[in-house]
Amino acid sequence: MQFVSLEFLIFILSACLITCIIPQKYRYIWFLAASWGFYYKLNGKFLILLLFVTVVAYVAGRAVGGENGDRSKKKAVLVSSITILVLMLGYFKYTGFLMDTVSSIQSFFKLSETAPVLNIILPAGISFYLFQAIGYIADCYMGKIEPENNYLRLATFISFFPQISAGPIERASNMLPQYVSPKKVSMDDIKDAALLILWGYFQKIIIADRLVTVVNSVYANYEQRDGGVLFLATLCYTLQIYCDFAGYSNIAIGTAKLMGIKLMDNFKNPYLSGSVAEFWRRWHISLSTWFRDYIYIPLGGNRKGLTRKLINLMIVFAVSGLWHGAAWTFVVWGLIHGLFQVAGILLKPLRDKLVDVFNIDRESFSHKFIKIFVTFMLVNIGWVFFRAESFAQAAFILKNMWTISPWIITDGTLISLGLSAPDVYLMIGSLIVLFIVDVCNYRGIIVRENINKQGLWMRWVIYIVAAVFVITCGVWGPGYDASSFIYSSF
Amino acid sequence: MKGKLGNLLKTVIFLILFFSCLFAVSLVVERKSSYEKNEMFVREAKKNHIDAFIIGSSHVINGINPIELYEDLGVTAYNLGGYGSVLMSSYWQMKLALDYCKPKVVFVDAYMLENDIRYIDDPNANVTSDELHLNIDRFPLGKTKVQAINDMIEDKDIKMQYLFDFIVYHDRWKEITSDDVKRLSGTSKINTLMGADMLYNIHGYDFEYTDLDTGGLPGETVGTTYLRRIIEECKAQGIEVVVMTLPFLAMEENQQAAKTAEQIADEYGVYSINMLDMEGLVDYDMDFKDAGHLNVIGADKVTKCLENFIAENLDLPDHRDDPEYQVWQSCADEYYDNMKKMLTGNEDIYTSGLYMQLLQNKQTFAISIKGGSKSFYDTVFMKELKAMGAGEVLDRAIETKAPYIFISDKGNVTEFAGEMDLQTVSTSKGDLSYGAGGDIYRMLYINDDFETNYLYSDAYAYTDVQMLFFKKGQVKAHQYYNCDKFTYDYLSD
Repeated sequence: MQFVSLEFLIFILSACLITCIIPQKYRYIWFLAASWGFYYKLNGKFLILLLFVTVVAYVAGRAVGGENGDRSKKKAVLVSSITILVLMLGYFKYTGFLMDTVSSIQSFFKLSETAPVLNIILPAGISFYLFQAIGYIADCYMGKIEPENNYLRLATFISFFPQISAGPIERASNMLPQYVSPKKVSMDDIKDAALLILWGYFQKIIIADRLVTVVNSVYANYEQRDGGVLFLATLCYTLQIYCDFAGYSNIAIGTAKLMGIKLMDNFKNPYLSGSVAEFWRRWHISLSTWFRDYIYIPLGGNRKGLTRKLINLMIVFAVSGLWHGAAWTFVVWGLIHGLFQVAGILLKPLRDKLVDVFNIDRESFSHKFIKIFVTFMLVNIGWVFFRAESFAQAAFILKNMWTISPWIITDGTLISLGLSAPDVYLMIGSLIVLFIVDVCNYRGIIVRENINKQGLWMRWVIYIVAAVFVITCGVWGPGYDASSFIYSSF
Repeated sequence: MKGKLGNLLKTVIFLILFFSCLFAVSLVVERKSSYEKNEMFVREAKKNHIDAFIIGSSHVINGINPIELYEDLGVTAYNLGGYGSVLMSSYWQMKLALDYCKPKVVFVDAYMLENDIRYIDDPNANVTSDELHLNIDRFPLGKTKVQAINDMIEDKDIKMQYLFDFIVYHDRWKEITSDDVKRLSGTSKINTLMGADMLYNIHGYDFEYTDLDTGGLPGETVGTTYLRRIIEECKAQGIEVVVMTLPFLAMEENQQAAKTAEQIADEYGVYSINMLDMEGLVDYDMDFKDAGHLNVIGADKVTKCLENFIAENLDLPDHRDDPEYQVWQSCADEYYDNMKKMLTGNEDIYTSGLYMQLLQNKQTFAISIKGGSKSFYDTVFMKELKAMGAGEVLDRAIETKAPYIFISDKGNVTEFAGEMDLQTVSTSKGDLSYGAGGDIYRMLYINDDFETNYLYSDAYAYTDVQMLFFKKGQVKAHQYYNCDKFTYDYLSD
């Protein structure tokens, strides 16, 4: 069941209506039933894997949590349970990658190939729910939370359907109390959640699924493309991946809110960041903070000197790259972001000095603009490795995309990249809307809240026009094959 | 409690408004082909104005003209044929139509009776989704439509596309024109040929129908099953059934199917007409657009054949003087008015000839061919002249390549060939005086005006074919065609 489907809309509507009639105390049982049903529809027999993970987390959480007990035994249980979960992830996600790597090495040294060809299906959402389970066990061990005694409640936390396929990667400390006493859903919550879901669909099926056509069209034939078109494609991918993933997150957060559950924010206008470090505080926040809490800090964080801090950063970003995809291009993407951050830290004194020497006002628009522009371009370069299917492709694009040819916007090139003229105009208009809303959010003006403050008729006109627009002009239905979200494949 | 009720009420009103807007948008973006084809049916069926359903494939859409049935007999029939419709889709088309009204007779075309594919979405069924959408979309979602889709389509996702066609059409937002918006007010254009679609092209050559004297099909097929269901449904509702096979370039299997259709009709004691067996009914070269589809001339002949059958066998009321059926008369008037408009100005000489044949009994026109013209070798054009009544004089002109003129005054034909002095022909539009001094120099005067020679001017002296259309004492349109290996350049005054 895809998020972009009538089936899903009917499912969330039914789930929300049933939630309303179930006493708050027992709602988590309904959430669990709905989540398992959803996952079964999404991934069939892999539901068993999900159940297994919940059992491992439940047993391990109880074993490692609490104040009593032998610390070394707890540590052993912690290590072994996390090892089991990581091995599961490794098997499903990285076996093929490992085999490919062995095969490449054998091929490089001209050895006969011994690695078997495996076709392992990646269970939906495994990277997300395993991280939630690992986070829960670690939190129990570190004493941040008490182990959950109610298996069904813990299973609900790991399986909750709005977030299971692509996050946000939640924390038990945020979610378990909400399952104990879910918030009563008010009309204001429903309005806010509905607008959030609508905005998510706008990002996904109005913008991202049009951008993907341009990107795929260029990448499919990149060697024949003009430099300006290659640059345009990288920009389009940068915007596509944002709209795709932020769109998904907004639908997930909105859906949970309709059921009285508050999920953490996952994106805060990341492309308005003034540095790569800030970018990672605004992009996929649930994952960044997960790596911070469960890898970076346990590795020593910034407590063991500058060199160790920089090494820790590189480790975290390499792992982050590998988490995103089982290919070396993803690892390089992660390392590039690590290097950006390391360079940012090492060059900070020099940058500060330059600001002082040239007497630059840090609060001036031009200074902020340049920082945002530079950060955006660095991130844009990084995404080339994320999208490329090989290093050769990434290198070609990075080498050739620096041609200045703004006329491709006006000379008809734009409408030769797989989209019709009306689609291109709609996409550009929608990107302008996205930019305005992001700038408003950046400045603390929440557009949703402002809409909901309007009088009844104005509100209704906005809701209806927006919903009808998204449904009518959205990229969905037969003939389209872009309804799955990029991050659901991680 | 009061607050909760208020919220509930507001939610209900909001949802009504939202779904109304969505419905309005869905009407605007929908592809209009089904609406155009079937809207007149819905309007007239609601008034119980339809005495006959014509169901079947594109053969009937192009082959039977309900406007002629009304004009000649006063019979109100609606052509519910669908492009690519097999008997299964025809059955469901009839069922959907029966939800609106009960006719006195159903004419069912048995083409594709041999088809043995159970589901229309089977790739081997060779039916495009557009074709089924044309049949289905105009009919609102209801019990019969759900049954139809479930029966005809196997794939769950494809079923949804027919049940909720907005899934398919929402992407038409980028093609919307003012005509799409008129759908909201019900003023967008609709088919006024009562579901038929006439073709105005001529295939012209190389078609020869061979009667293979076959028996019936070797066994039951999905097609025969649904033909039986159509007959049984009609019998159960007291509706007469006529099983037909319209003329086309039928292969062995098609001829077997036509025989089986007759056998099934006999078995149930209902009428059958196998037009494949009616020798001379149509000219396979001239009356077809392609091997399967009759053009407007072929349709005229087939419709006349059906008229004879109705007159002899069925007791259908004549509604021509009934003021309640004014819409039918308006549609007939529109059809003939449009035809009159199309009579002149055709760049395609064959289409011109086709309209002339259709309106020959109502119009006065002349066709002049210069001496030595390549047009005399153009068998298609020559056949068109023959179809209009040209005879020995034309044969002589073809043989000698002599200058030739064909004059038709409301069906009365006069023709001259060769060099000759002025001769006068009296027509309803005035006296036409014709003479030929040579291959190029020919004369045509109207009444006493011997100053104006309509067949000679320096600018058009060497054109191969001239067509002149007359109104009282004048030429209302004058068309010239230059022939080059049977492709014609069109020139007009």
